[in-house]
Amino acid sequence: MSAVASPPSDAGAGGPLLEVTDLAVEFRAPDGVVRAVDGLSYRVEAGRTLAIVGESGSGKSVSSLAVLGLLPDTARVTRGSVRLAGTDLLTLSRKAHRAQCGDQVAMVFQDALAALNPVHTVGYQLTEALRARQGLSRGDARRRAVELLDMVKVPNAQARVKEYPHQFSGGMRQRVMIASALAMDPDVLIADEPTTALDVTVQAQVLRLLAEIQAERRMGLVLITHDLGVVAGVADDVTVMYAGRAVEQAPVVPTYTTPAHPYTRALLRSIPSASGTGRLPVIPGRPPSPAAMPSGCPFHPRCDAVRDVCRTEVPPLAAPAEGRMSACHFAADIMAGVEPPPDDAAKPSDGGERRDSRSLGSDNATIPTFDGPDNRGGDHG
Amino acid sequence: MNDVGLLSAAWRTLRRRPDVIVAALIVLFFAVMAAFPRLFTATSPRACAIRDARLDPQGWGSAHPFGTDALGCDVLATMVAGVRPSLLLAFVVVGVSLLIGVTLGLLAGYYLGWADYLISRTIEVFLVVPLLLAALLLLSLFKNVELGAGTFDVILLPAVVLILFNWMSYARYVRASVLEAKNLDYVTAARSLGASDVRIMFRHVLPNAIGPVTALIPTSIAAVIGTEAVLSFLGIGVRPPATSWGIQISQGSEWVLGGAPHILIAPLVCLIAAVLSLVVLGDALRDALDPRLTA
Repeated sequence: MSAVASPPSDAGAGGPLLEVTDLAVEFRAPDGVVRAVDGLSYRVEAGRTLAIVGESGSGKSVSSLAVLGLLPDTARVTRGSVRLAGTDLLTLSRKAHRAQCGDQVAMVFQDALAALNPVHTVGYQLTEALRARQGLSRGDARRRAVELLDMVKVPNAQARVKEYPHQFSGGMRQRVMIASALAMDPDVLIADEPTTALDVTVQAQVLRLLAEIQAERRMGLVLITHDLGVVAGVADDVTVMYAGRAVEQAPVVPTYTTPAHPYTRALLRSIPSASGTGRLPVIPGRPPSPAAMPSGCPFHPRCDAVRDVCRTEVPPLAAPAEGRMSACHFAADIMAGVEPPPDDAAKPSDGGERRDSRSLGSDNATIPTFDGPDNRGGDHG
Repeated sequence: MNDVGLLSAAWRTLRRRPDVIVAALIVLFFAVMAAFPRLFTATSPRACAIRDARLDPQGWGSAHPFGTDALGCDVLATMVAGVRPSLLLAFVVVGVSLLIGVTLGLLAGYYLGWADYLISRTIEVFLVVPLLLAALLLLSLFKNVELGAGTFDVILLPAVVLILFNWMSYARYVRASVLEAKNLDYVTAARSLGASDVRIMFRHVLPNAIGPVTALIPTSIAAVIGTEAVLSFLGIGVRPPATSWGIQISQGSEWVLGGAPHILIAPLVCLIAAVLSLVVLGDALRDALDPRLTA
């Protein structure tokens, strides 16, 4: 049950590099079991970038930790598989799983200062894995460290390999982090909010760098972020997560032009825009606690297009159109830019049908923070 | 490449601090005293004449520069003779306890689960057994064993007793800092690059968790020298006729108010000087080895 429909222009011949299928991760909590990820599926092909977007606590980081086998002791994978070039990582022993990490799949962490060991030089950390696992000599390791720093465009690499992480600026540190993840030449790189700790101009540089390296090496890149603005420039496909599930999966452009889930639509509206005036729309409320999931669709308490059926039935992840996946009862309506039919109307029997009984204007009016007629700058629909 | 760079940088930092130079000279002085006692006194610590008991210090160049003790033994000679067993005992005890404590603390904090359970309970058992009770027990066990009179033989019994009751504090400190360090991102990052448990423990967790323990070392050296005197009183300290600073201090303290304070003062000054120097050195070494504090 692959979720994202494979893009038509895919060049990879041997199937996806990384394929996550129906992954579920549970945490043991004092008051019972908490399901952080519930039935997540995605696939990444060589040379393509998948962005996983979601709020804090939506399970996007936990799912990538599961891929790398880095889940804390209180968590366990209850369902699903993670296939890396055909091998199911979750069935491997801890040791065998770790041997795959770094070599085939590597990770870039959010806070590079915390993710670099303060007591070792940058050069040591870049090549530690190479020296430990491929038995590189000191001299070779040093040359390789300089190469890696050059690759991520750290100026004066020759001198800087001898420095410590605290002597680097935030952006340079993130570059070092990326270089250390690339040291073993992985096929898949998972970047967990790689630009969150950076300021905006540096963010753009680091993202461009990631995109360049990815294109050059034909890596699969999984970019985890909560910032849809980041996604637009770099990603090929988008998976939007909410409360541990994928709510929308699609190529990046259609996601932006015709979102198929009210959550995606609301996220897009809340991106600040330079031409926007008036108040920026926000999504009211907070994401549900995984310990106290609402009934029906997990997004229904915050949804601006909620109907009775949403409160009782969990919408399955279905395809409202070719190449699109959405977990909304009214995906076709949302895609078409119309409001779902009111509760007294007949239930939507099939998603392909277009309902134009409602005007586009009512779409905007349902956003609670809407603040006057002149805020269309915030509207991407 | 990186070790050499770190050490030479450490040396450059140390050189600029005069207190470190003084401390290093004092430690060197005692090291020389331990290695070549003949340089400092020609008198034997065992040539005691009871009629010369409790002589006041006579100044440098005379027969008893620092006076004599209650039994008429030369204070300077006793002090010089005590350097070697005292310092050796201190370093052996602290070194071995450090090794045991750091290893067990690291294992307990890193793996948790049953390893932690086992180690933590063992720590508690050793913490609740009183040192003197255990010392008496060991004394009765080893009473009839002839250990010889070599440099290490004379300190063997006190070393065993003190190590047995010294390692727990290191283990607890290390365990606590490992618990803190092992969940940091750089440990996860190392794991995500496929590092083994042993590598993560010794290369990533330990260097960041050892800080609180290094601050403990100089004071435990002083404590060991002091406790050894207590053990001597029970007869399981440094074996007579060998002597130590601890023995000398405990004997001297009986005469502080009896008109012969010099018996106490001479070894006490040496102990304080040695310990203070070690504190300064330990402090400087920690600063120098922490790259965050090296500008």
